[in-house]
Amino acid sequence: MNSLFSFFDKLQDYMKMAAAFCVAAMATITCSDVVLRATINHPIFGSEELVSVCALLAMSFALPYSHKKDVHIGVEILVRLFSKKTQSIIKVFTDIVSVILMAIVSWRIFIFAGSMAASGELSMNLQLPMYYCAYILGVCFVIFSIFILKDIIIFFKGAKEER
Amino acid sequence: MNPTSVGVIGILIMVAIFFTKMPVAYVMTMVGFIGFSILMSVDSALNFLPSNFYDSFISYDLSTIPLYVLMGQLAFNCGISRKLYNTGYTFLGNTRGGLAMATVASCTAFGAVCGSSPATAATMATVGMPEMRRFGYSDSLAAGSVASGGGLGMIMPPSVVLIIYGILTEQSIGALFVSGILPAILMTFLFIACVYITCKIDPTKGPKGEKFTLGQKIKSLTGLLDTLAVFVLVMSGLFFGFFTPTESAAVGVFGVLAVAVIRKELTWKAFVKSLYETLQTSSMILFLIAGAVVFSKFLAVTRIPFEVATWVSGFDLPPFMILAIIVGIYFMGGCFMDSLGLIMLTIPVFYPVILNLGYDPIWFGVIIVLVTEMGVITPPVGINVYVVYGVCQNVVGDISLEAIFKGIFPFLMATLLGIIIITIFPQIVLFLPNLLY
Repeated sequence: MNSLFSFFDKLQDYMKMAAAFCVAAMATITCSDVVLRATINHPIFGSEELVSVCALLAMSFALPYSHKKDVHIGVEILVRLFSKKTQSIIKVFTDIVSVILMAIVSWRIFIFAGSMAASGELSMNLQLPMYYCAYILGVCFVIFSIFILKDIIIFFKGAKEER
Repeated sequence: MNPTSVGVIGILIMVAIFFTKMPVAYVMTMVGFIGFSILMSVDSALNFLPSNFYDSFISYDLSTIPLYVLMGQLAFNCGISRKLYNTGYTFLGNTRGGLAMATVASCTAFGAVCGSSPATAATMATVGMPEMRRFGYSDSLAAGSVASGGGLGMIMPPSVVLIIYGILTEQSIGALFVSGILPAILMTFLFIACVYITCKIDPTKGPKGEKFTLGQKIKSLTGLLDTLAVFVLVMSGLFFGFFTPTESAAVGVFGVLAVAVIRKELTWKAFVKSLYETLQTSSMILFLIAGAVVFSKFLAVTRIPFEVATWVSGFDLPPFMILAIIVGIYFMGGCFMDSLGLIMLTIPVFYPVILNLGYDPIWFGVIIVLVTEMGVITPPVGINVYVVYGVCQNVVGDISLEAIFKGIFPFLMATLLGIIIITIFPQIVLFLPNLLY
């Protein structure tokens, strides 16, 4: 189990780097488009599509990293009044609900990507097959769900060791 | 059970789940999905769920957010904030409470390159708190001015809250940005007046700092020029129609990078750190948007926004009283919830009401930002207060949360006064957008 966790940690690191690259690419493509349009009146063809794809990839690859960094805001006001043990029990319940929700989202994204592929949907200017992006989003949601699941497993393993 | 009752129950359940600390974005997605399944069908809910995430993440309009966040992160990690503070310090440091005034002015200036309130507060706490401690400022005034001043970063364009408001209400982001400039300047003066009055009542709270010569003051202005150059580049392109909001953000990123390279303040480590911090903030915001979209689709089928709009319009009250009630709801909501979550949750409900009452949507956007600015410093949530508290533990040592909350009270009153002034004189908000758009 530990080797599986370390594999996913490593994967999360690579995904984070890929996401950071995509954000940098978004800025570079957009700025180059503006400069080329203003100077030689020759904008980058399909730059909006490229930026949109980079944005999707950046946000998809950042999903496990954002979970690891616990960046998603929650209302702490009531929970922090409880003991540490009660807080962990509440957390594991919300994690179980979250993992079910994210599993449903992942499953539906794959079906959504499949329907895009079946209809042969392409982007307007560059004719990019957009279903690949949807599949990548689905895979990232699966990895994101595994990270939430990992928290649940760690909680139960900890509880077992305490007993 | 009619759709409105299902909607009300859904909202109550959602608020109850919020208190479990489950992420707001997940709760909105879950309640929106289940509610939609009950009112329409499970199949239709399952079908719209993936497209919401896909559309939110791939949206070209929303790609503005990571780029503006990156611009602010680069400005912070490349030391632009420190220069701004030094300029304010050189000009105002020698007056009583001058360092706190310099902090407030620097927060507004930093807001011109950073669209996030907690980021502005964290930045200015890092540079301002040690100086104010050194000159014997009271913790309440020092930390209160940093936490409250951070909120000014939300009004001064570019502002993430205004971008999201613009996307949700389909208003021009350029017009919203330009409308925030005069209110930001007004709020800065009100906050400076607040510091002045506090130090007039109790001079020990903000003793005088170092005195600088005229030459030193002029030399320090170079620190302001960097920010001014980037701000003018980004905003002028946007206002005069050369750039879209996304393009202006990307140009801003390279503007900040150019300044950092020229000043030899860009390191690879700072660049990578900025990218990773951008991923964290952007991921949080975009997930929140996707969740809010799912929830608002549920709200739309419950007809709650229309029912509320009709119900409120039927009140035998003058429009400003209804506005005061809405502002009160935002203020109370802001005490318990993050500003972005609150806006995404409530705009679909209150926006039609505001339009029905005949208020200008651009003006209302600025009012919303001002009210949420109060939310970021009010207990018990008050995110800026916790950010400043956390930074202070690292940079100046122990400081009590009570002292910070005590310190923000005068600034809270100043913000309320600002809202009243802007309500009486909406021209303060609308003058620039009417001139430019």
